[in-house]
Amino acid sequence: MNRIFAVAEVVIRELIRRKDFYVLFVLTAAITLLMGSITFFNEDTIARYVKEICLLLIWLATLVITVTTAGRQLPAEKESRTIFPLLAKPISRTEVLLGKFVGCWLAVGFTLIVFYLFFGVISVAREHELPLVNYLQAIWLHWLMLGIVGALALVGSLLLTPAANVSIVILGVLGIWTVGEFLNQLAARTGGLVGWVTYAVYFAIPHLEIFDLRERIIHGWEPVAWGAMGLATLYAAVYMAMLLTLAALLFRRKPLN
Amino acid sequence: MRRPVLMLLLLMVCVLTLTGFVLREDALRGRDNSKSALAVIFGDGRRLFANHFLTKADEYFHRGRYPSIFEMAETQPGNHLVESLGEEEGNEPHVHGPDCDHGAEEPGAVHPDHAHDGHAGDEESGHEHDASCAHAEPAGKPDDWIARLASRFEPDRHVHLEGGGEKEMLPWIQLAVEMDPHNVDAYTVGGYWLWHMGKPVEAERFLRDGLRNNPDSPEIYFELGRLSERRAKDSRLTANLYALSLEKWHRANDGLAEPDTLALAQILGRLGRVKESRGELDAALECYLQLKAVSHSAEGVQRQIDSIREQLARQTHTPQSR
Repeated sequence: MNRIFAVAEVVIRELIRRKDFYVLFVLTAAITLLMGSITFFNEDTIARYVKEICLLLIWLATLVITVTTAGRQLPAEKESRTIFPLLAKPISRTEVLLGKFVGCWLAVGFTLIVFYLFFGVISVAREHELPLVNYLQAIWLHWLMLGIVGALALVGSLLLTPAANVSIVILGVLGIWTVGEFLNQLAARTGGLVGWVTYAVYFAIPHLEIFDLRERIIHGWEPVAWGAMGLATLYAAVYMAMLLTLAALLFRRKPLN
Repeated sequence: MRRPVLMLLLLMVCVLTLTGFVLREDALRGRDNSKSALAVIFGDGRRLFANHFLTKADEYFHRGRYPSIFEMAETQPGNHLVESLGEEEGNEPHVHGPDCDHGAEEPGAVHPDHAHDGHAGDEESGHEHDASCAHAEPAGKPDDWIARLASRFEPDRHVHLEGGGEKEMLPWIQLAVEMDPHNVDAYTVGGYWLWHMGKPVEAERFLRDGLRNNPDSPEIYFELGRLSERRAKDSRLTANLYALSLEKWHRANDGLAEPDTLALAQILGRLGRVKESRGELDAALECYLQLKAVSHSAEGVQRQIDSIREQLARQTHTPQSR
């Protein structure tokens, strides 16, 4: 376990050194503040559109950070040949992989906290209320979702080139967000072989829309039932475990030279 | 690594230069920069954005609970905000006749005859939804464990913005008209909600903007007439606005195979009512006679016609008796 966290620590330090997070945070903050400065029909207490834009930018920024951070870990080690001295130490390939994943996930969790702090400030400034439970639930589910995405990017990094991996994972995640939840209805209407294939895809893909509490946050709905939160956590854990097992199997057999 | 960055910078410079050139040309020709700039950037695609933003306003009105395209196909397609405007006058299945008494026409007032026929009442917020309501909840419930799980994280009840919360829709309505100044629905919806929120001046300004961009729109004239009627400021102005709406309707619909008779019925009903209140009974009778031909509730209109004729007969009889 210590070895895993030692690798994870390096990943976290790397993210702190890199400029990706800072650039995306400043961009998110600038766009949100710019949009928030607009007044519509002399109403300066309108808040929800600002919250929507801010949350959308947070989701996009953290998606990009997660995919690029997780996706470049193993290829970068391989390219710079630092993977060899790393594996020369008493650490298995699976531990390296898990360390990379844990590091990415924790680092993304840190960025998520910063982003949501900013969102909270904007929200309080506009609406003068802070539904803390809702926000904590949203952060937790968002973090779980990014865990699945990070694991997916790690698997992709073992199969594809870094650029292709980042592009495919981001497009895939956006596709799941937008149409994933409708595939069952599409399958029911299509029927036949195409319908069965669509059903298979529907049950195979990780349904990331489950972790999206944006509408509830924007429109001030009450918190989600804790039972449902537990089920979502279990769902994410199963997908992360499956993807990391697959990544470990691929990495164990992958030639490094 | 440097080459792609340089290429990207070059591309950006080219795009910015081109945009600047187009905007400068527009300025020199005295065009409205903001609108033409959007037109240049988005082309006809801006209409799609405008419709999307109007849908977004509707979604906000329902506090984020909005049916998917599959659910819409099973229930009732279309923008509920736009529908609710029409239903204020009871488009379907009931077309208001002049005898249709809507009471004080206060926001939120629900006409008893309208309850739960599609949408009902003066506006959507005026009625509670149940299973019989066409757009209350999607007909198809989640039929697998993933859908059931996902549904526990979504807004799960059909509720409406109220108590001043309607202001949250305004940015999307404004964006819709910025994107497409010819989106008449956005203007009428915006005008209605601004009035509903106690901003009649802004409502009129917004509708007048719409009129400048759509001078031949009977819908905007009608909404201006409604606004004027609600404000009860000048019944002559109200009657003129309805008359202009009627004129524009004829210009747009005469000769069409399927004219918009529901809109015609609305205009005639309101115009007749205003004329009647102003004591112009002949003009009111003319409106009601035309309305009878297109109204779904011809009996109600006939009763109103009879009442007007009685009044006219009394008027003509009274001087003779003297």
